[in-house]
Amino acid sequence: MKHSDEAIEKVLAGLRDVEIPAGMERRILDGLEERAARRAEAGRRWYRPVWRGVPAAYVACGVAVVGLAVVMLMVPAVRRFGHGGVQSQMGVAPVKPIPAMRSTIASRDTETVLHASDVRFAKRVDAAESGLGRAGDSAGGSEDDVALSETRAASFPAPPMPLTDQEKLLLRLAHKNDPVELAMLDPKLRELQDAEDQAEFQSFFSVPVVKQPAPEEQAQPEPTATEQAAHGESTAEKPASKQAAPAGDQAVPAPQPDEDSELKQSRAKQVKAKTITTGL
Amino acid sequence: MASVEGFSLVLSSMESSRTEVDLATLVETYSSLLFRVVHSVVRSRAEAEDVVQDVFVRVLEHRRSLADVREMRVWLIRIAWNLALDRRRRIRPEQFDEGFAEGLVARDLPVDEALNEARRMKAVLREMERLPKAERHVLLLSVTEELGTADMAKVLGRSESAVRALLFRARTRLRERLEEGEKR
Repeated sequence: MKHSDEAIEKVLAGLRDVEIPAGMERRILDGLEERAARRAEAGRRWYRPVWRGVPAAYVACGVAVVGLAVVMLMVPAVRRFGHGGVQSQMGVAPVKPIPAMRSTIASRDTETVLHASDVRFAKRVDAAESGLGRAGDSAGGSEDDVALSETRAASFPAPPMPLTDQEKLLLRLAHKNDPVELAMLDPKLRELQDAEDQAEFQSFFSVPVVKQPAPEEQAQPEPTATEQAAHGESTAEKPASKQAAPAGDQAVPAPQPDEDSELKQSRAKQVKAKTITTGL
Repeated sequence: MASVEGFSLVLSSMESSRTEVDLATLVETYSSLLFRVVHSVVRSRAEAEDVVQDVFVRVLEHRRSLADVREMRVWLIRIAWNLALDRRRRIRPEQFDEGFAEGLVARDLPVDEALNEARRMKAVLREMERLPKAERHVLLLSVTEELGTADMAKVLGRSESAVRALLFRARTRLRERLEEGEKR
């Protein structure tokens, strides 16, 4: 048992005390550096364009084939249309700026700019035509002059740019032409409108004019209760309507309620006395 | 840029300086420990060094997650342990046992005693290989002095008490088998 324990401990100690190889760390770091460099190289290769590895000969052949195809396509077109440069020198009707390009809501300033550009363009065309005429007179010997004048001529004015949203909003605001808003800008019309509004206000809140009873009407006897019922009037509504009407500057002052009650009482007494005498 | 014994580790320009320092420092600090752990499994110095190299390659691949590693020591030992077990499946450690056992015998012994001693060492290594897997792993990990029971438990994914029990059973079983072999 002792021998086996010693053997076990010896083996374990041998495993434990194993000698580290000299320069192991350096070799490990060397290997790591090499591997990192390889990874970086692989990363750069990953970003490298694919066509870089294609031989230059294939690229040259491809370019030549494409150029040949372009030439073959261009030759019939050139024959069909003739000499394009001469045709332009012969004064083909110039392409004017498309009227539809002008915005319908553009201001007059924009239109004047367009007209000015048309005028300049017409002048330039006239100059070119006159130059061409001179060139024709000189038996076509001064084509270079024509070409030179063409190159020196003012270039076509660029078509007006479409209005931005902000410009469109400004135009819409400036050309709204609302009569009410325009009238509010005029001080006379504004004062007139204020006066009309004031008069309408006064007429709405003014007290209706009450008629003064005539002296003959005061002498007439007061109708009886049955007569009042027949007319559908109520004595209680009158003071209420009178109270509801506010006192205005132009209103006639209403009679005092105390005087009314005394008059009514005296008239009622007279009517009673008459009925008693007639009944007797 | 970090330097280890005059060596400067140059990584790609895309690597951060912190990663460079960490990697060089890790190699300097843990390479010996990892070598012993791996050597206890493969029992070959060349293979052990190769496995340690692979460990730091793995670290280089996971350098972006180094900051998330809580226990760097245990993490590295676990990587080394798994790589060593994987290497052990490809090589036959028994082929290296003879040379290792002869290296354990004292050189001042007579030849016959040295042969007997070498034979005993080979018997111990052979019986260690015959131990159950869990017991063998605990016994091999216990070889490294720097590793305590808690570290072994974390590496093997077991509780500390289980590690202690496995270590006791491994020693007992190994002793019994060696005695039985001596009796025969």
